[in-house]
Amino acid sequence: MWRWCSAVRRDIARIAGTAVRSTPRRIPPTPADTTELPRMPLAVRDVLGPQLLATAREALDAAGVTPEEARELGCVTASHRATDATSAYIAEVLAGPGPRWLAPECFLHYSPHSLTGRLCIELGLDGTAVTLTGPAGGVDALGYAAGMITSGRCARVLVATAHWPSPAGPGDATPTPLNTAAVVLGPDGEGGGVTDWRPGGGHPAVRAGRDTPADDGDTSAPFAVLADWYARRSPDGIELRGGGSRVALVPGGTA
Amino acid sequence: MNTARRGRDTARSVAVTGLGVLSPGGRGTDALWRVCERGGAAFRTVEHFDVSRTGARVAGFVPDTGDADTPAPGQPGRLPYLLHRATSDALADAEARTGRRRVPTALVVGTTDSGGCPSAAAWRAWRDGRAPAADAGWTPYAAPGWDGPVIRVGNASAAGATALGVGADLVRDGLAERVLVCGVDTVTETAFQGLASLRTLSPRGCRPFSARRSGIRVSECAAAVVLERTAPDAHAHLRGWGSSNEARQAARPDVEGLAKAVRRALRDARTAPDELGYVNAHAAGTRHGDVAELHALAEVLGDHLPRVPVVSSKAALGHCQGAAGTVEAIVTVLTLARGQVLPTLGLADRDPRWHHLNLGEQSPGSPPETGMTISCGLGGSNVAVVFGRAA
Repeated sequence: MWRWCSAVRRDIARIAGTAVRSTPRRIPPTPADTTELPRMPLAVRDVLGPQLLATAREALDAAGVTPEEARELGCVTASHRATDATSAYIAEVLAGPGPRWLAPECFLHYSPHSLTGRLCIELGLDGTAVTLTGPAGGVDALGYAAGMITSGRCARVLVATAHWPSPAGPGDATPTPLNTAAVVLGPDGEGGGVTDWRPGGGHPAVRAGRDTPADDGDTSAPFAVLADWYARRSPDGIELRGGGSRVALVPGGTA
Repeated sequence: MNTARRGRDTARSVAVTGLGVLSPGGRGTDALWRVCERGGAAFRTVEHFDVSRTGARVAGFVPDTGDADTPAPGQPGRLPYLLHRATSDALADAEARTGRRRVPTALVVGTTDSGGCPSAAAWRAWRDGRAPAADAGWTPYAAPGWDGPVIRVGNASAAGATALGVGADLVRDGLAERVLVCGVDTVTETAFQGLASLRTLSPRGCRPFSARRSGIRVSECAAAVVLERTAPDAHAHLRGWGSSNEARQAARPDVEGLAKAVRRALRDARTAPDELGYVNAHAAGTRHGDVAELHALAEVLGDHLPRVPVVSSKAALGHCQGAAGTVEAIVTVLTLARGQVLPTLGLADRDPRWHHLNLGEQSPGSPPETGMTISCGLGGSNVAVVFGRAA
């Protein structure tokens, strides 16, 4: 059975700014006219990406990070199948008109790392860049980023996430909630902080009994809890859970 | 530079105690070494999806290992099977080498495969109501019976190298006593055709540093590395790593971003540039990528570069995608442990701009003590990992 090392770090990475957005959005439908295919909007490039970027900018603003200062930031993102819309698009085009009708650029939006890459390139973030995935990715991203700060490997880190459930069926035009969230972590400040990461994740044997049935792999859920807790300046610490992983939030004012 | 050599702080070094690999060369490190030395990896025309309308039709596959009920390429169990085999082999190696069994172990998986829609067939099954979702049909990445934490890293083609860095950080920060890092990927239709539409696949395969290089060939692979705090009889030591996502655009490796990752890795490893005795380059054989990488190395290593063997294993293995970083780390570790540098295969038509460099064809005067492996991923991920024979 897994047991934790005795020396769990107590260091705290402080929260400097947060942003959370949730908007019902639909996957752009595939046009009936094949010749329109290469020019159609791509879900990850044209819907998810812009909202994630806006959320990240909002968190950087809230943290008082100027565009010049952003260069020093590391970037950790979390997503659990948020970029699946791209593989579904590729498969649909292959199943229909064939490979020559794929938008050449589509593969740049296939990997979960395309989210990290887009944030780094467009916001000029130049530190360590790590992309975490899976249902535990949200909690793991906060925990790993906190470790980057407390170990001194990075001065400040933008932690961001996107979650966008796939539609129930092919051609389903019902919008599904596109959740994006971002947190800026740094070494000091009066606000609350993140500490005590306990990665668990990914395997049913680990997840069993630890998570509520409501845990549907939404990597943005722990970010939303964190942002609400931070906004309320709660005097009580809480634990964030997701996909079997855990991380603790400790109140500010004790720095 | 010399101060770094004399007074190098080894406290942040992490021991490499176990290796396990299933590559297009076969199962195990001896099979991997053999194909890197002589070629002969299992490249064949893709059969599990339609490549009749694609320029590149060949991919690298893990040869049949003789296990009963091995899922074939394209079957949902293929990725978990490769992951299970490679991690089991690496763990068995670490336990035999250290004599320490049942150590609490975290698993860090590096893969480009997030479980999304793998093929046109899977999408059709979803459309026709024969499947509940348009996905890969498997859920857990972990091996059966695994009860430790699993962290998944998805940095595109740099996923394996980034997973090594994250794994090393877990050990250094005291979060885990032992970390099993595994890069793993299979050949899926959506990724293959996506790469083809980006004009990244070459019908002639990976030809790193060649004048006629024109793109990559993808391979399936699972490559696992066990990391722990210290061990007297380690294969080698992971000294440090560095990452940067500086890029002007997502599709091309960037000289500055690459140089930054290399500098950060050397700094983290407390290693001076002129201590490097071996570089296993990303060198996928793309027109622009190989140039950017050697420019970056020239920028960091300066006059020392022509004295360092710079080798690409992709000529022998193809591009192992999310496993590239870990399988090339294993080649780096074997190079240090065996004290032998293998040349880059297929250098008969090397690009004349690199005639002054040693692409592995000249044996160094003495066995390399320190080596680095570099990985780049779409989206601008640049990662370098430094290994040493000693901590």
